[in-house]
Amino acid sequence: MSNTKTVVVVAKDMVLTSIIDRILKDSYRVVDFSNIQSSLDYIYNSTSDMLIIDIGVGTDDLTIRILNEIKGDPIFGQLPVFAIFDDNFVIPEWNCLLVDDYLRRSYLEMELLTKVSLCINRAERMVDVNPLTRLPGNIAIIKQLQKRLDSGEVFALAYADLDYFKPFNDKFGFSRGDEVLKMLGRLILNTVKGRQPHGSFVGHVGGDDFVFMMDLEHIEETAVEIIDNFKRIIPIFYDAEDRANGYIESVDREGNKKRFPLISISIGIAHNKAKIFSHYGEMAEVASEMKTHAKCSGGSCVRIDKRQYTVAG
Amino acid sequence: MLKVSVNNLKPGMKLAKPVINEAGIMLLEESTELTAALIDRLQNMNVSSVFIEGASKPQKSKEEIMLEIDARFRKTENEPYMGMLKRMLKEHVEELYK
Amino acid sequence: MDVQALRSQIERIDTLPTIPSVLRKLLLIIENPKVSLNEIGSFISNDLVLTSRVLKVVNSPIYGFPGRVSSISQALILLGLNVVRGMLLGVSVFEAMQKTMLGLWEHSLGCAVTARIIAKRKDLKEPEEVSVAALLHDIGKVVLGLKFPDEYKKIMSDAETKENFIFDAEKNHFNINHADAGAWIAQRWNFPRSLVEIIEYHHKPHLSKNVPVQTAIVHLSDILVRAKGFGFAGDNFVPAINSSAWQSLDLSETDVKEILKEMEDSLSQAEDFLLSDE
Repeated sequence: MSNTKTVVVVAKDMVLTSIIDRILKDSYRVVDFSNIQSSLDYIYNSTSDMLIIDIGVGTDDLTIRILNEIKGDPIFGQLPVFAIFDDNFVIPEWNCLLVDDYLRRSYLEMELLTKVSLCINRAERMVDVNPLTRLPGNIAIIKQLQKRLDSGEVFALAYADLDYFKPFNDKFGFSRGDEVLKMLGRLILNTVKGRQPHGSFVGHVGGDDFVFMMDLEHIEETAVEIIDNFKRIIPIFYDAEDRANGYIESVDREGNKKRFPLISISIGIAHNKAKIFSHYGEMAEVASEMKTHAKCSGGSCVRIDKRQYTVAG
Repeated sequence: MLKVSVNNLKPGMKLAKPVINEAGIMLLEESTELTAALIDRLQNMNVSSVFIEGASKPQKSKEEIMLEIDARFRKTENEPYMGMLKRMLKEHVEELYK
Repeated sequence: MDVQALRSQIERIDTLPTIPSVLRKLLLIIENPKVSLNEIGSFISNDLVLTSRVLKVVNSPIYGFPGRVSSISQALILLGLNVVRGMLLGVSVFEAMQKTMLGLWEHSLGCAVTARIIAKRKDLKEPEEVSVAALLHDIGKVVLGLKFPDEYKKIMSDAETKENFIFDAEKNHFNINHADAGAWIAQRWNFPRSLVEIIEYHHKPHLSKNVPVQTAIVHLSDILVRAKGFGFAGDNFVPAINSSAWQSLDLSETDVKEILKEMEDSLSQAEDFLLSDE
């Protein structure tokens, strides 16, 4: 497979498209579309390394919405987006327009090639994203948690991990184990965002540890939905025989043959409604405690902190 | 039976299937003859269409259908199980036309 | 054209277009901001091209678990509403299969609902997967018809005048038939092996090693739907049922009669979906 990067260009103006093609074609593979809708199929189905999009006075809301939706997804959001603005276009607030860099039309000839190269390079250097699931990693999680605590908002924090994951890896190998984690990342992300599209957060600490934050009123039913979805999907990662049996045969830590149930998921939930946490570690500890409780019940299960704390808390 | 949008219902039409709302509660029984009042009620509820007894389209005659079945099975009716399948299908069609 | 060249041509296909009536409904769904993932799922499950697109995306190596997902409900959970909406938005309204393909669409959807009926009757644990396989079993015809439109038209009229089965006419012309073409594209798109196998062997179910029962069900569905004259699969004849498949399904006369009965309602709903303008 060649190392040539692919740049997707979305522009209504064919003159602009041909200028961009000319500037980039010797260094990149360029794919053109006249609007963002027609590029979606390509973006969601192939690996592209950058999206260049022409934005100006004539750009409609739908285009911006679609762009922001792409950037909002952990996998496709990694795609660097480069905006080309008309020289007299007034740039809106950046939080309404999720692009990674921009250039004014009059600077195209001078700067486009180097800027595109820089943008792609920068995207490759991104840290603090879990390499497997592309979800925010540990540092981002801690920052998010502390930020919410500092703001004083009431919210809930869930910790999830898998049971019987190690025997699965031992039997089927780490490659298949990775597939399960990638699936779990998507599953948690989509379920959480499906229930609370705004104001929720999903992170991947590492290994099989995942974290999500939501409004208190949504979190328990979301956890239940995650468990249901997981139970429905996890069998496809097993062989037909194990599915029929409901267990796998593998070796335990002492080398003895043992039967293990199918992978299950445990979720523990902490919230700051009844207690003030000042440091992220305190809240994380409660969530972790709840998750341990969840494991004691066997099978997939969720536990939420129902304690009433005394005022001194 | 025929699926008809609630906006196209006429008094005198008979329900081929019971009308069940989103909560699973049966609103009207099968075979209920629709009156103007009932049609009104249906239109005001969250029901988009109902199943009405009666022919779907210019109904093919039973004879036509049987002939078509014969033609379709012509190439393979002597192969194992095909004669049986053809017979079962014809019996099924007979039942429909009773 | 030799088989290898044929295969690489077919494997190069990136997307397939759907028929105009489905496209129209698609636009309505996209325009509705309140549409739920479930509603979108039901809609997609009725169209063989949209289903194949969703399975292609979710089984793409980009997501990290290729060859695992064969049901639309699972795919939607893993893709999420935004990706699915985005994908539907990306379906070009300028490219549509010809209206004449409607017969094949009816046939495929008819097989999907029939396979589900049979699978439930045989108490299969995952009836949705067999239903999806039945929906997609003739995808090879869409592929051949798209890549070689003039030749395929000729094949179809040949089949008519010589009173041949379409799969024989295909083989005479291409040296392969739609089952092969369908399996090639399913494999290229990383569909689960069981799905590829059912598509490949739906006319020769005794050759299915890993999923003989599911393949037999799709095989029988194809025959029953053609026997009833629902839709148009390329010719007007009912293929002979494979003896070992029939025996493995072990259906009594009562079973078959009940299946035919259940088919009446389901087929009429299927027809409604494809023909109505709502």
